[in-house]
Amino acid sequence: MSIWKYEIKKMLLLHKGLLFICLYFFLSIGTMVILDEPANPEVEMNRMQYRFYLNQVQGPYTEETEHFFTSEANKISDAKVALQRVTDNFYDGYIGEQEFLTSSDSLAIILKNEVGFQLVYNQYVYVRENPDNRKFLNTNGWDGLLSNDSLDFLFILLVLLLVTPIFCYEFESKMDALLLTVKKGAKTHTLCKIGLVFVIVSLLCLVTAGLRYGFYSFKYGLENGDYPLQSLSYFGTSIKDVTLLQSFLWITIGKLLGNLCFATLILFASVCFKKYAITLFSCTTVVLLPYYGLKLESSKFLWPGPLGFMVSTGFFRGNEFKRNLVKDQMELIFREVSFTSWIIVFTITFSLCVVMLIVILHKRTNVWIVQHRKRRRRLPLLILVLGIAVSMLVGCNSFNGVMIEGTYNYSSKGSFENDKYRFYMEQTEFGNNQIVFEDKTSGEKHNLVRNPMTSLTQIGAPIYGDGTYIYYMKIDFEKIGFQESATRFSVIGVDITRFNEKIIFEKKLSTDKGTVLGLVKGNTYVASFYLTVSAFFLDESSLYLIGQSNGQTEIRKINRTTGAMSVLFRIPVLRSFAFDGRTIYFVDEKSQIVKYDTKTDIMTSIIDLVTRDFILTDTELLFLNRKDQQKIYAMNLHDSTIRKLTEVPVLSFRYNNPYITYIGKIDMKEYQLFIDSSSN
Amino acid sequence: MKVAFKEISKQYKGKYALHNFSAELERGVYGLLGTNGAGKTTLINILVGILKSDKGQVLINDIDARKSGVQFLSHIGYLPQFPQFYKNFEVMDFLKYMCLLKEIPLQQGEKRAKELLEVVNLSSAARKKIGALSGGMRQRVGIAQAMLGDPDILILDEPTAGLDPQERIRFRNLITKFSENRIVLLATHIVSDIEFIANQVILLKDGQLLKQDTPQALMESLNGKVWHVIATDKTLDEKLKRLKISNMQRDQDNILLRVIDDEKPDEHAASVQANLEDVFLYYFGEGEQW
Amino acid sequence: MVRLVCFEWRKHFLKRSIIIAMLLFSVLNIAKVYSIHEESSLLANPGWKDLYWKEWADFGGAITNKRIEKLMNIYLPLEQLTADHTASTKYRTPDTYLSNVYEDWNFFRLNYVDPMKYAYDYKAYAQGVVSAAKENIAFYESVDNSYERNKNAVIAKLFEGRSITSFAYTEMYQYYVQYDFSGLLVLLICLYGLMSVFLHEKVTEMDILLLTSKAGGKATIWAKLIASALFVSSVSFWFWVVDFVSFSIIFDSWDAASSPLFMLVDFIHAALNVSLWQYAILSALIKTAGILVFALAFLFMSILFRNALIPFIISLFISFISIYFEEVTMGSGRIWIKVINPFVLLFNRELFRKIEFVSLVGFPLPSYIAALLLATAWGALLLGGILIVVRKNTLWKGGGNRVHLEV
Repeated sequence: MSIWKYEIKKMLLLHKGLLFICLYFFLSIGTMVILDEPANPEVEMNRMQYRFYLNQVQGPYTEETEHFFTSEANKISDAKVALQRVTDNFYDGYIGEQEFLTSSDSLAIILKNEVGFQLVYNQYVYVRENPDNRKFLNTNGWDGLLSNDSLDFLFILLVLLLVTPIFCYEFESKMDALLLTVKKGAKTHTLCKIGLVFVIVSLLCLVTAGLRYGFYSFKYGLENGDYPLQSLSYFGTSIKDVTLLQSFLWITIGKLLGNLCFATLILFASVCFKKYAITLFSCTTVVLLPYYGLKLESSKFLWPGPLGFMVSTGFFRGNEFKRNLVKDQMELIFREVSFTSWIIVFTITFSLCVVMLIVILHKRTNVWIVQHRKRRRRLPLLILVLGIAVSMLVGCNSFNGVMIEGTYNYSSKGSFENDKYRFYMEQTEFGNNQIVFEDKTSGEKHNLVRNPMTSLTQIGAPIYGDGTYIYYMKIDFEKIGFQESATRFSVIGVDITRFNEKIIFEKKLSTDKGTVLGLVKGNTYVASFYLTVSAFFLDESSLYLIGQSNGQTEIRKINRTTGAMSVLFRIPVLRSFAFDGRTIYFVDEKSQIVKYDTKTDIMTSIIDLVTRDFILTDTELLFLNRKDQQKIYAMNLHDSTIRKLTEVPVLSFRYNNPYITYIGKIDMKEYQLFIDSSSN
Repeated sequence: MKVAFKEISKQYKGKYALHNFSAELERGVYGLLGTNGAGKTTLINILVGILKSDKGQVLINDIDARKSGVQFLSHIGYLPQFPQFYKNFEVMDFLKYMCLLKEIPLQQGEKRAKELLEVVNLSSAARKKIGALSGGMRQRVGIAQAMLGDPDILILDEPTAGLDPQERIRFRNLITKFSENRIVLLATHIVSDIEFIANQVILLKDGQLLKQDTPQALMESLNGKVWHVIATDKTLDEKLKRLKISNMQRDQDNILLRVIDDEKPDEHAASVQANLEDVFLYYFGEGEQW
Repeated sequence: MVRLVCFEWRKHFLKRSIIIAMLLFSVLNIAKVYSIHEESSLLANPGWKDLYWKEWADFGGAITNKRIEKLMNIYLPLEQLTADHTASTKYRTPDTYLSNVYEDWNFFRLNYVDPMKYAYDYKAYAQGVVSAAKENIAFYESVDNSYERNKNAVIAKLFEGRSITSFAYTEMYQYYVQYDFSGLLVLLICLYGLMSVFLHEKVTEMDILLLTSKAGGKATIWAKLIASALFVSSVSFWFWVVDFVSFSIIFDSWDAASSPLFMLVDFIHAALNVSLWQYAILSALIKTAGILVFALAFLFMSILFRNALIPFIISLFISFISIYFEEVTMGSGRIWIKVINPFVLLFNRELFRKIEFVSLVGFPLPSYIAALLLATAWGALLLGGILIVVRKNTLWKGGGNRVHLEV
């Protein structure tokens, strides 16, 4: 066996390096799979629609693109109006069914991908700011791969585990002196160790980069690698003339250099200190402290040392500014690293590495082999190493299944009633929402949210109730200095018997890096959706939120355990909506009621039931029949038979078992109608 | 083979560990004798090239070791003080590894390693992990590795420290066995090790060469200076204060003292043959009080 | 024992590397505080700073109607002038305090009007909380919910009589209570310092010798633990003092020390009725307790191995996992999950910014007490682990039952 083989054996087997490498890849892949979230979740939730439009504009911004967006925007808005008109005409009897179907189907096709258009349009707004170096592409993959300045903490630990014993073990075994007295034990042995470290670290770095590339390619796709880097908004202001793929390669090379520099630092520290603890401590602090300590993000890329290179993405970012509301001026939050600065940082870092390697070789060399040695500096090594260090430095809970009792209607999203209480939303004199409940027998009224500390919390207007629980949502805020920001969205369940509260779902909203070390950061797109939630309901495994995204009303399903979110569907006009514990009822663009089974994910339209306003009761679907001058009808949920309840057109109605209260369209008077479901 | 130290000096924090040390070594076993801190390990570290001297030269066959460069290392076999070696290596594997570092061809190295393990009586432990060996066994692995390249100079730093008498005797015999046609430099403060096997003794004191001679000559130089004196309990304290005593032995009511003195300490004192311990005490025992 | 502790201290902690690291980290810490001031402080602007302290003579101290009136006489015209965004932005006209009327408006709004309004309104808000809590007591009694009733009783008592009578410059404390970086520095130094406490004896093979000496067993282990605790406490206190002093000097403020904790808007529902200086001390003590728990974890790890490599890496990994979970649970209403992580003691604003409770067999326990109790339990568990795993002389009582876990 050669020295190489022995050193490999020592590193990978005797020091358990192979085990650590396997553990690293296991954890690394695990964290990627579990923790990765798309930069723009909207795109992933509307992949098909987004793709439809992206495929048409993918590539550079041209005049044609401009025309395309203008015409497409007009087409969509015209289609909306036309569909409404065609529907009205059909239900008013002006056109036949065949004509209606032909027209509405073609219009529905145009509107089908509206949300995709909105997403691509947002991209268009970005691209047209600087069409020379921005192109249309699906950015999630590249954003995941490139648009972050995160440090691979697990990789740092792995490098420490692999490299620290290289020399420290020799000192621990007291082999250092003996090795210096044998022919190949000094320089050759040391060079072999350094070479091995460089090869292993490089391999691991490249495999990690490949793994990340593979992961993002598989999960989101990494097409259009030849597009300019500025196509990603993270690098929007960059003046570097590189493509995405080139950037990835450069960043990988940068990371490789950074990790090699880090490995050199570890080797250097271990040769100087000869002990594990101080080597690990000094090397960890050199990387972690500037990473977490430097306030201006670009600082870490302007100081020599491994850190900037280990992150590397910052070398490709441009100047970024943020408006200071107090001073009313733009403040620099990221300073572009110019090529000259990069060369200087690289040169100093490279020189530092060379100096460290020379010191390592010098210290691991037999006196008789060195022909001319300068007088040994008596400066304590500790100060030398720490000097280098300084130069581098300064530079959803367990929950019992929800037993759904009764039905949920959008029209009553702010109220709920059971045998004993009536819950509803009340506006306070200060304009805040207050959920109150009224004892039906005594008429006593109390607040449902009984937390006496109301400041920095905003209670949402909608409530949802099932048999024993009533749920409300709230948003918590924090105020530091003069800045107030939303921190968390929560859905709380209150048991109606003893009024104990329990958290059903929580989502972190703050998107800044303010908390502790900034390891957990919310997503702007996700946070903005939570802030628009206007209604919600839930079952034993999921929470359903109705909110706004890209100007459209969406129903999103959220897994209560994992927090995974998906768009169930969009509602063109949110007026009526219902949920019976398993099936969601909503009105589609053709004013037909659609049933969506949350268990089987099957969607079915109720034929011949045309309405925009309906209410679901336990046994019937009450609706204003668009085909019969908006008179109230009832459809039996079991046998689908339909009966007419009023003979006059109705403007609006509400249901309060067993009464329907409605306002007549002609006389605008309010009437009450007793309905006996059993008579049906 | 000839090794010559020419006015070697080495300072630590302003204090001389070695001061103008000069000596010449030719074939044979050299016992480097001195108290703790006398500069023995410093001298060895300079010889093997771990430390650089502040001043002076080391000549190998009249050629400056610096000029010999890496070739010089093929002449030496070194056993450091308190070796540990790689605890998770097997003995044979470790020896093969050392062969590699000493640039000994694989087959030749393996054969030599087997031979040496036979010589040091460790053949049965060839597949044992070094961490599982006793101190004496580990020391024997150490000398085996030092002998791997059949070096001309064998340097042993405190090789018997911490060994039991049986191991020490075994080790001494090994050294004698390996001393044929080579220079063996044996640094120790255990006098008996040197007394039995050294051809020459180098006395080192405060970093300076005090004396270099054969053990016999050194012992003879103390003829008429080593005495047996009989003391009683009453007179013992007075004698202890006045005389340099190398040994005391109680014989019923009397105490037999072995005294080192240039003059007859007592009218009843009887002159006796000096041993190397007496020599050690004579040169290094100044100011020692009982 | 005292002498043994002194020896252990000297042996493990009186190292040049630790002292140099402490000094370097302290400098870095001060630089970090300075960067926070430059980035966030309203008074980082020299013009604002000068004007602030000039106006302070008129508006600082006890909040009186006269002062409020005077302030509003300045502010209301500014508000009217800026309301429709048509006022002149001409630079430094004679009737403006700063560069233009907008800056004047911002200055008075952010520095005086908003904070003074908060302080002035606080009494009424606190009374509102008390009455709401009292109402809750009656309500929960009616529904036989003793836990909520007791919880509200504590809240009512806590908020009873709360008011802010004096206007003080609290900016320094606003950022001081949010400052976490020094916690990371302390953790790293302690991690380094503590690695050698047990490992050093193994490396020098003194562990066996120690076992054979009379005081080398239990007494030495306790001496090591006490010395480690003293080291951790000293390092912690040094950094907490550096934090406080540098914040005070850099923000040029010692002023608000006697103001109540709830003077800080984010602490409007503060869990304790203490002043800011009392909170600074309390926070330092609790942070130290948190570091002590981690110190025990580091020591426990180090006992299991022969050298510092793996225990250092595992300890670092555990620390970062704890920080990660701390960040995930920060602000969460799931109090148990929050307080089970001993890191919450290190970043203890989470425990004190709002009074929160956990149910301990139906009894409402304030979250900070629960966190302290859980941290004590963690500490006891780790201490027990150390005492079980550490090498013992078999002649001792129970020594023969040593659990050999060395890796």
